[in-house]
Amino acid sequence: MSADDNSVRMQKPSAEEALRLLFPDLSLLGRIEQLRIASASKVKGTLAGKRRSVSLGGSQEFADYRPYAPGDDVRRIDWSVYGRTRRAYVRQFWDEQELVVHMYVDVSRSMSFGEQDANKLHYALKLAASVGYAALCGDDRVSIKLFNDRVVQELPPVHGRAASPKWFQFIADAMRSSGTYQTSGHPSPELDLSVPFRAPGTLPHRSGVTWLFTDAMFEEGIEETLLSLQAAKQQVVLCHLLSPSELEPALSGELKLIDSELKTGKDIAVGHRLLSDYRMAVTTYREQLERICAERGATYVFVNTGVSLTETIHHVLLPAQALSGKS
Amino acid sequence: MQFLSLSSAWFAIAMPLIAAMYILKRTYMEQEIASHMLWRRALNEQEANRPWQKLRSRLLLLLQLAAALLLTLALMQPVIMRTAAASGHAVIVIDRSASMTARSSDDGSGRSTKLELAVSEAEQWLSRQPGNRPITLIATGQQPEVVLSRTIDRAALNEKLQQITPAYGKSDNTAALSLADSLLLNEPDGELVVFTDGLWPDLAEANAMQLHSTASLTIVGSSKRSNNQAILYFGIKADAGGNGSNTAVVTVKNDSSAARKVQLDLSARNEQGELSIAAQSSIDIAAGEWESVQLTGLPAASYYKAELRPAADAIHADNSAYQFPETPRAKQALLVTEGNLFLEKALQLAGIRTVKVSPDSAAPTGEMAEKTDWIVLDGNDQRLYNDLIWAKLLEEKPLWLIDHPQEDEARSEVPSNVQTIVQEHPVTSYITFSDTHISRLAKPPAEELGWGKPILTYSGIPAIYAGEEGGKPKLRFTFNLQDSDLPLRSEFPVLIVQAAEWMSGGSQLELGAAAADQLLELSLHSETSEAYWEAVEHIDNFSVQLQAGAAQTMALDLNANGVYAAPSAPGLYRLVEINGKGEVLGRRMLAVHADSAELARPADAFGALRLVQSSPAADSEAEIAREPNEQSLSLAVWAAALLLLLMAAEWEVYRRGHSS
Repeated sequence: MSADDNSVRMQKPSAEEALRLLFPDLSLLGRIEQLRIASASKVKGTLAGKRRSVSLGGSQEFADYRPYAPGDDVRRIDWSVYGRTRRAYVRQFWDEQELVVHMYVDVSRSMSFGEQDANKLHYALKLAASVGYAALCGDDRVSIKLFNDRVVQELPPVHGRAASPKWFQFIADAMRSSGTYQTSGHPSPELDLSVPFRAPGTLPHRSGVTWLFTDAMFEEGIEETLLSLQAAKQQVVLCHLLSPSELEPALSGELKLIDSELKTGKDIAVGHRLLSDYRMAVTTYREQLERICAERGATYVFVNTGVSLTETIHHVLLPAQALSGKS
Repeated sequence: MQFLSLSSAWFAIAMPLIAAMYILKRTYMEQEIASHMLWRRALNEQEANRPWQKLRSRLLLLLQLAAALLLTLALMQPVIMRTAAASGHAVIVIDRSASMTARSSDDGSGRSTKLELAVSEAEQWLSRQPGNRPITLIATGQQPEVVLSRTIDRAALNEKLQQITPAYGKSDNTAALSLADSLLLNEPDGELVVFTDGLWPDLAEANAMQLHSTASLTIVGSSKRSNNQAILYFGIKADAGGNGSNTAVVTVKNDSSAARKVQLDLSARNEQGELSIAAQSSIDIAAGEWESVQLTGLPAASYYKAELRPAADAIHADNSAYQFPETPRAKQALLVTEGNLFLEKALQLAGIRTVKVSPDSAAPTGEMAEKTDWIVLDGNDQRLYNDLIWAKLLEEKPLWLIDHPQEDEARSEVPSNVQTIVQEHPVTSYITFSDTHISRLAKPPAEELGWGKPILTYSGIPAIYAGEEGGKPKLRFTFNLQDSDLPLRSEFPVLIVQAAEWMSGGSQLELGAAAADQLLELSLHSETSEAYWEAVEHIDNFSVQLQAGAAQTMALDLNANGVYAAPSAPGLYRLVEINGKGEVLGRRMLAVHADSAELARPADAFGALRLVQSSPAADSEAEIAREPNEQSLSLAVWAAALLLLLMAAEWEVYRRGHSS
């Protein structure tokens, strides 16, 4: 489905262009390599990876002893125990499997706001690129889906550091073509986050970690989406992005505010009172989202796009334990 | 509030224009934002109180409309009518006329008089004034009196206020008003403050007055019919019988609204100065009516006093009245003569009862001698001195000697010419002796004349000696009246009257009655170098109280050319005249009563006092007719100030962005 949309687009950027677009400061990449996606629970994947799985397997991480049973690999008998006790015990190790990280980036029109570097969509993509790169470096499997009221573009799961150019290219391409994504044309479709997630094939098939990058400008559907993602055995990180102009609107005078998605107008007289009411509303909304996430066991991360990427990673994602340093 | 320029109201058209501009205004700048979602949440609260929100949303329009309204108002030149500013010169006029002595309460039992009330009102008014306000204090009276002029000394003002005494005489209130108004003539913020009972005899005149300054009127006391009984008339006439007794007619008026029974005491003071009740009468008077009563058989007295009891009515000053008998008891002269018809008739004409005796007859004794006031010895007969009884009589009584110089007598002279020199003396007042012929004048030895001095010389020869011997007046004519043509001259009766008065101890007729402060035409003795009023009795306790500290005598200003003011408090006074040597020349009584114009009418006979402020009609330029008691104050300045405030508020509103 994405092929139609992409047909009109220009040539995909080269890997180098993509890297320059995404990371003007390449030193960030080095720091990201030291990070890994935190996953609170043991993962259960299909392919061997570096993540401790819920199943026992052939990793180097000791799990338990159990008595030898015929058919067990004799190499696993702990001979020193046998020498002391004359009983054969088999050492068991945790199986290590790969973690599948799913990234969902909201590309609805409301995301295209924010000045230059603070553009929410660009920021979200850069953040996704960084987190994805960290995952790739950690031998995790990463996929990304861009959605508005439907999934408009996606990158199937890629794996390993070698896939990082492809990863960056995809994101840089998405960044270039931001604002050109078409909605399905349903009336007021973008007010419900659950709409794209209800579409078949949107939800991940395999358990893992899902990062949802959005400005959460949805009247409804957020809780429902969290529910369906959890039902799909996903550990959700809701990355809520707001630009500085949304946090502290520099508006004044008599304005007709045009909703970028609905194209409807709202007449307001901007005053101190209204602005403080607005700030209050933003805070309340953030608290509301945080509460919902906490109730669902999801991680809520608020990102001010006015803050540099490095800072966000170090001061927001790491403390929120959405990312962690490599042990 | 009034508008001086109503036509400027057309500028109010600007207001709908402003509103129209707001309607036509492109209301909103379009601004695209990510989503309304958060804004909707913020606006939810505000939409809850929509009417107020709507009002505020048009705050800028409302402010601009208010500004336009204020501008229009300012252009219409609003003025507010208000009482005069309290900072300008104020003139207090205190009515102290006789009616102000009325007790303030209805039954007359009130402790304070209206004047005291007025004074305390004035003090209260003073205490409300700013300390730097110049105040002039004027008391009414026959002549308005400026007690204090343009002073800010409150202590002095209060002191002077307390010292204001009632003026019982005719009060010229209009003059006081006029004076006060003229003091304020060039002071637009001046104020005239009048404290009065509103009972003005010259009310019509005062009401017709056009005052230039703002005036406020404080009426003290009740304007109701006061409870007052007054002696309206008190007259004494001699009984027809000629027995020396008198009849009194007293008219008593009842101003109160109920019939009253009053007790009238009539007392007489005899020559010895003893006051005794001569008659009493009880009178019933209907409300608002008057009643006359006649009291007969009064003993002879030097004066009578009529008094109403009980004295506790509104006005005390009119409860007593004095009256003198028509003539005091006629003097009796013993005329020792062999026959002098001219003299006898002239003496009778002068009101003297004469008892004619011959020098040959025995001296009168007993009652006859007692009743004799003085003796005329026509023909200075030495034989009488030899008679012991005569000699004693002549020694006791004032003596009027008339010499009968004989042709052969050595001590006499025939005048050589008709040149007369008249000295100033009561006996020779109005007398010239011109063209009078005297055939012969006696020249008594000097030792006989030590008591007197010549007051008339004829051809250089003393013709009349006058003086006092042993405190008794004495006269000596050195010529025989019958030897001159004097009795045929018109001056003769005058001379005899004056001589008789002189012999009667210089006592002239009593002065009668006068209103307080009334100007009296008095003829004083020509020798008088000093004269004063001596209080015999005061009528009103109030005046006594007020004058307790003051001297009981009031000196007359002798430069006043025959017109002298009566004492200012009702009562009985004696005019005492003293010559240069300190001798008392005469004592005359004067009964002083309060001005009848003030007291004679009941309170409700007066109209309402209004102080009319003139409208400067001649001033057609920018002035408008002003209400009395008020002055216009332009509000345009305030409107402008408010406008500035409004513009500041508007700017603030615009700056804060409450302007949708």
